[in-house]
Amino acid sequence: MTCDHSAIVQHAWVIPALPLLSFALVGLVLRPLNARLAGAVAAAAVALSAALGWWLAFDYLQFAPPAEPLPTLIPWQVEWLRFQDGLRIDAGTLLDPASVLLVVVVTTVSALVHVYSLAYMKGEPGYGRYFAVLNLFTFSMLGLVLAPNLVQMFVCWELVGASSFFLIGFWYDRPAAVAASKKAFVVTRFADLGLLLAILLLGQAAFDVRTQLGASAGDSQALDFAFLGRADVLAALAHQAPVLGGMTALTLGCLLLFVGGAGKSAMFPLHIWLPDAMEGPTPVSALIHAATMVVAGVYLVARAFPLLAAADGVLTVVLAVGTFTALFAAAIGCTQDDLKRVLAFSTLSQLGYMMLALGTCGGGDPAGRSAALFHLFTHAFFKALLFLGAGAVLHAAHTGDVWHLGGLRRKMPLTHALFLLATLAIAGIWPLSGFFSKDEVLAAALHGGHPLVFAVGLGVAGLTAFYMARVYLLVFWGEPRREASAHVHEAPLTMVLPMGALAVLAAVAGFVPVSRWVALPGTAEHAGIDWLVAGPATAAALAGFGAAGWLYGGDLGRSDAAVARLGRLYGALRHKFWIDELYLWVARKVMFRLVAAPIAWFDRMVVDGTMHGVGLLTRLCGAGVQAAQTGQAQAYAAWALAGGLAVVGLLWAAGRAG
Amino acid sequence: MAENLASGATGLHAWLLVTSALFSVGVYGLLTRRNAVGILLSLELCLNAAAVQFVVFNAVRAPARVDGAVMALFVVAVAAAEVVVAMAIFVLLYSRRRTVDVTDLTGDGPGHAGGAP
Amino acid sequence: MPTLALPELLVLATALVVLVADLFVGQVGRRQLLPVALVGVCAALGALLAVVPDSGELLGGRFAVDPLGWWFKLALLGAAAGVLALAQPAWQGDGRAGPTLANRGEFLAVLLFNLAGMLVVPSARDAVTFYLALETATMPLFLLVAWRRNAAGAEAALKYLVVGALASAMLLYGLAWLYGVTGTLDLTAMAGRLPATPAAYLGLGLVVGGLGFKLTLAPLHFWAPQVYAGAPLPVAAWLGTASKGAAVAAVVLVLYRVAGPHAQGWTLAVALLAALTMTIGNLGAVVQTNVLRLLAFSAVSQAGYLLVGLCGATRDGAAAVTYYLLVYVVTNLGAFAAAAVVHHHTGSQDLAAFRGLSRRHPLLALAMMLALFGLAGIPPLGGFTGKFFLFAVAAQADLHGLVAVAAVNSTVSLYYYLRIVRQMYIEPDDSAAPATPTGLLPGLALVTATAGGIALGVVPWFYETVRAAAAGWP
Repeated sequence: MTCDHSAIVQHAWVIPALPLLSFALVGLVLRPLNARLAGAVAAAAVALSAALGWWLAFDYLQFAPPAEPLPTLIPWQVEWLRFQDGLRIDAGTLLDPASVLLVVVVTTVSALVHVYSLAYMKGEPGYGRYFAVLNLFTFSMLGLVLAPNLVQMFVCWELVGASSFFLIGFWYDRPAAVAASKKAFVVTRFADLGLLLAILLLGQAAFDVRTQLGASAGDSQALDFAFLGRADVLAALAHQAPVLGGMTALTLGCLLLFVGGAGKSAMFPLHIWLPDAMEGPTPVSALIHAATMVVAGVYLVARAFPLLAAADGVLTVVLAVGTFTALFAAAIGCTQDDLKRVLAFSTLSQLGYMMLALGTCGGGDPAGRSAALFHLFTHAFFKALLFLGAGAVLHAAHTGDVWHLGGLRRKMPLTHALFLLATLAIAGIWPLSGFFSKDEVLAAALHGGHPLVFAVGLGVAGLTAFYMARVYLLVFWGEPRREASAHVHEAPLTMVLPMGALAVLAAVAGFVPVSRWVALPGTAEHAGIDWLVAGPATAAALAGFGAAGWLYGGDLGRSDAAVARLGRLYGALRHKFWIDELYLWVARKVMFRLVAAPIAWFDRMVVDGTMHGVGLLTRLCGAGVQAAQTGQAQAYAAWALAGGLAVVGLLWAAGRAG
Repeated sequence: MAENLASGATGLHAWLLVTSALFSVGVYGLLTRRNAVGILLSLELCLNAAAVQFVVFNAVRAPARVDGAVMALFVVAVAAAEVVVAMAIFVLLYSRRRTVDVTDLTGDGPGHAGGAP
Repeated sequence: MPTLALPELLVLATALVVLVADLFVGQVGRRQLLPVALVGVCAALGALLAVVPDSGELLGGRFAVDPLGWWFKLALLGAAAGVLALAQPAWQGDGRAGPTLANRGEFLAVLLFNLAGMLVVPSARDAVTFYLALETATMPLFLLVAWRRNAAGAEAALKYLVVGALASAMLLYGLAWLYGVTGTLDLTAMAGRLPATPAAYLGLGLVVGGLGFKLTLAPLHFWAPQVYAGAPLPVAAWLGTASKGAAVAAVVLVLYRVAGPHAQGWTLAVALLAALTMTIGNLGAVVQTNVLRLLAFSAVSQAGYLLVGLCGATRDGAAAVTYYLLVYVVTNLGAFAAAAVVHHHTGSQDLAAFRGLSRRHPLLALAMMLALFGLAGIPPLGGFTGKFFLFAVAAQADLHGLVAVAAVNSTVSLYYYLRIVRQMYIEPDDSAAPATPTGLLPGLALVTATAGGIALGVVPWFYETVRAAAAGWP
C-alpha cells in the first residue's frame, strides 16, 4: 500500500517542516538583518506549504472511488521516545479525511493571514519577531493536526499555546496585552493539565489492555489513535474496573480530555481568556483565535471520538457544555461595543455549535461529528474573513468601538462588500457556506433526538444574525459618529486580496462535500438540503436581521429604548454575567489570600532564608579556598607532597584493610 | 659494584637508604631553599636519587637486562633539559623583578587582590 | 608500520618547518606561520582519522595504539587545532591585549613539540617512553606560560616550575619504586607482577601524586589560577584542554593498565581525591572576578568530575572518562575561544568585560553561554550526558556519597557559570566597546566547539562508539 502513494502523500511531513524551517531561518538569521525580507520569507514558506496542502488534499481524495470511505494512512513516522515495548511514541503524519481537511484549512488561512500581515504589521518594531512566531504557530498547528498519537498532539498542543501566548502579548509594552496573554496562558494551561492527566490515565489503561491482548495487539502502540480506536480495545477499556467515583479510566480520561479541549476551544466556564485575547494583532485573532487554534479542542474531540463515544455520558457533557456556550456567548455578543470582542463572542458561540454537534452523537449516529468538522471548515473561512475585515477597519480608523465608527461603506467599499458577504455567510443565508454547515449541525441535533438542543440552536442562529447585523449596520451604515471614522481610506491591495480569497472560499465552501468525506462508518446518508431544518433556521436568521435592522438600521433611539426596557438583563449580558469578576474574586480572595500568601511567606522566610544562608556559606568557603592561594610556591609544593603522601597512605590503609 | 649489589638483600637495603636519603634531602631543599637556583639544585638531587635507584634495582632485580640503566641515562638528559628551561625562567624573572627569591613572590597573580601588578 | 605514528610525525615535522621558516621569513611572513601550523595539525588529525588503525604496535611494543588511545589522540589534536585557531588574534596582535605572540615565532614550534609529547602519552607502553612523553608534555608549558616575558608571566611560570619540579621528582621516584618491586619497565608486564606491598603502594601513590599535578587535583592545584591568569590566553586554553587531556590519558594508563588489578585498593583514594578536587575547585571559582582564574578553578573542579569515572576501574568507567574528556575539551575550547575574543577586544580579563556582550555580539554570547552551560552540565548539551555517565560509574561502584557530593558540586558550579551569563545577558551594555568581530579562525573554532558540544549531547553514536572502543579495558 505504501509504495504507490504519490510523492506528497509519502512526504506530507514537508508541509509542517517548511514553516519550522522558516521559523528557524527568520527567527535566528533574517529577523535582525532585514525585517521586510523576514516577512516575505515567512509568508512565502507558508504559501508554499499551503500549495502543498492543496496538492495533498487532491491526491488524497484520489484514493477511493466515490462509494468507498477514504483510507487512514501513516505514510511516515519515526521512533521518538521508547518507554517500553508497547509504549513507544512516534513522531509521524497521520492522514485521514479530518487531518487532511485541517491541513488545508490551517495552511490556507495561515498563508492568507501571512500575506495580509505583510501590510497590516508594516512599521511595527517587532515585524520579524511577529512572522517568526506566526511560522512557529503554523508548524505547531500542523504537527497537532497530523499527530498519529496523543503525545505528539500534546506537545504541539503546548506549542500552539505558547505561540498564542507570544502573539497575544506581541505588544508587550501595553499592560492590557500583557495581562491578556497571561490570562490566556494560565487558563489554557490549567485546562491542558486535564489533557495531560487524560493522556496518563488513558495511556496506562490502554497499555494494560494492550498487555491483555498480547500478540493480537501487533505493532500498535498504546497511545496511538489507531490503537485507541479499535473496537476490541474500546470494548476492553469500557469493561475495566472503575478507578474513581464509579467511573472507569476510560470515562474519567475522556472527561479530562474534554477539559483540555474545552480550555483550548474556550468552552464555558473556561471561555474567559478568548475575548481578552483580542488584545493581540488582528491577523493573529483571525488565524489563531478564530480559524485554527481554538478549533483544536473540537478537533481533539473529533479525533478521539471513538473513545468519547465508548465512554458513558461524556458526549452528554459535551452536548450540554457546547449548547450552553453557544447560547451564552451569542447573547453576550449582542451587547458588546468593541468590534473584535463581538467577533470573539461570536467565535465562542460557533465553537459551542461545533461542540454541540459532536455531543449529539450519543445516540450512535456519528452524523454530528461530520457536521462539526464541516462547520469547522466553513467557519474558518468566514470568521477569518470577518476578522480581517475588522482588521482593515481598525487599520484605517484606529478604533474598534462600533459607536465611534459608522458610514464606512462609502470610504471602504471593498471591505464593506467582503464584510457583508461574511456576515451573510455566518448568519446562514443560502447559498453561502454557513447555510450548509449550520443546516447539518441543526439536522444532527434534530435527528439525534435532541429537540431542545435544536430549539436552542435555532435561537442561536437568530442571535448570530442579530449581533452580526448590529455591528455591520453600526460600522458601515449611518453617518460617521466620530472624527476618526470620517477620514478613513480603503485598505491596501495586499490586505484586500487575501480577504477576497477568503471571501471566495467562504462563499463556495458549503458546496464541498466535506461531511461525506469525513463521515465515520455507520453514518446515515442524507441527501440534499433538509428543509425541515433549513426553513426554520433561515427564518430565524432573517428574524435576527429584521430585529437588528429595526433597532440599528435607522433611528438609534430605538435601540436605547430597547436597552432601557431590558434593564438588568442587558447589564448582566454587557458585563458577561460577571464571570471574569467571579474568577478574579476567587483568585484574589481565596487563592491568593488563603493559599498563596502563607506559601509566599514560607518561601520568603524559610526557603529563601536557607538559600541565602547556603549561598553565603558557599562564598565564605570560597573565600577560604582563595585565602589558601598565598602565592608561596614552596607552600604549594608542600601541599603537593602532602597530597602524594596522602595517596600513598590511603593505598596502604586500603591494602591493610583488604 | 654490581657484584656487591647482587650479593644480597643487605646491600640493596643500604643502597635504598642512600637513595631515600638523597631524595629526602632533595625534597627538603626544594621546600626550604629561598633562592630559585637552590631549588633547582635540590630538584637535581631528587632526580639523581631516582636515577641511582633505577640502576640499583636493575642490578638486583633484573640483572640480565639494562633497561633501568637506560632509564637513568634518560633521566640525566631530562634533568639537563629541565635546567635549561628553569634557568631561562630565572633569568627572565630576575630581569623583571630583580630577585630570584621565591618567598618574595607573594602575590597570586593578576586579577586577584594582592596580585602582581 | 610508521603510519601508526603518522600524526606524531606530522606534528613534529610541522614543528620543524615552522621553526626553520621562522628564521627566514620577515615580520610579515611570520604572521602566516600560524595557519601553517594549523594546517599541519589538521593534517595530523586527518591522518589519525584516515590512516591510523585502531590498534597496533611499534618499536618492539613500546609505542602502541589502542582504540581508546585513538580517542585520546583525537581529543588532543582537536584541542590543538582549536587552540591554534583561537590564538589567531593574539598571534596577529592588533587588539588591546598586549604584545603579539608573533614577535617570538618559536611559540608555535614549542607548542607543537609539546603536542607531540602529549600524543605519545596514551601510546606509551613502557616506563621510559611514558616518562619521556610526560616530560615533553610538561616542560615546554613552563616556557609557554612565561611567553609574554612580563613579570606576571615569569612569576606564574616560576611557581608552576617549582610545583612541577616536585611533581616530576615524585613521579620519577615512584616509577623507580614500581620498577623495583616488579623488575620490569614494561607497563603491561608490571600489572601482572605488582605485589600488594608497602613499597608498591609508595611507588603507585607517588606516581599518582605526580600526575595529579598535571591534572590539577587538589591539593596539587594551587598553581593553576595564577598560571592561567598570567599566561597568554591561548596558553591558558592549551593548559585547560590538551594538557589536561594528556594528564587524563596518563592517569588512565597508570590506574587501568598498571594498577587495574588493584582497583579495590585505590578506588577509595581516587574517590576522596575526586570529592576534594571538585569541591575545592568549585568553591574557589565562586569568589573569582577574573574570568581566567574562574576558568582555572572550573578546570580544577572538572578534573574532579573526570576522576569520578575512574572509580572501580570498569569498562564503563574508561568509556565515561574518555567521553567526558571529549566533551570537556570541546566545551572548554568554546569558553576559552569566547574569552579570547573578548580579551582581545577589551584587554581585560575581568568578568565585567562580558557586560552586555549579548547586545554587542549575540552569537558570541550565545556560544559562550552554551559552553558554560555545557561545563555546568545542563541538558541536552554534552556536559550533561558526560556527567551522567561519570556519575553512573560511581553509583555502580556503590559510591553514593561521591555521587551526592558531585551533584551538589554541579549545583554550586552553576552559580558561577551563571555569573558570566548574567554579565552577558542581564547587565546593561555600558561599555563604549564597539562591535566585537570574532575573526575567521576563532569564529570557526567557536562554531565547531559549540556544534560539537551539542552533537556530543544529542547524538548517541559518540558514546556508543567510545564504549565499544573501551571493550578491551577491564
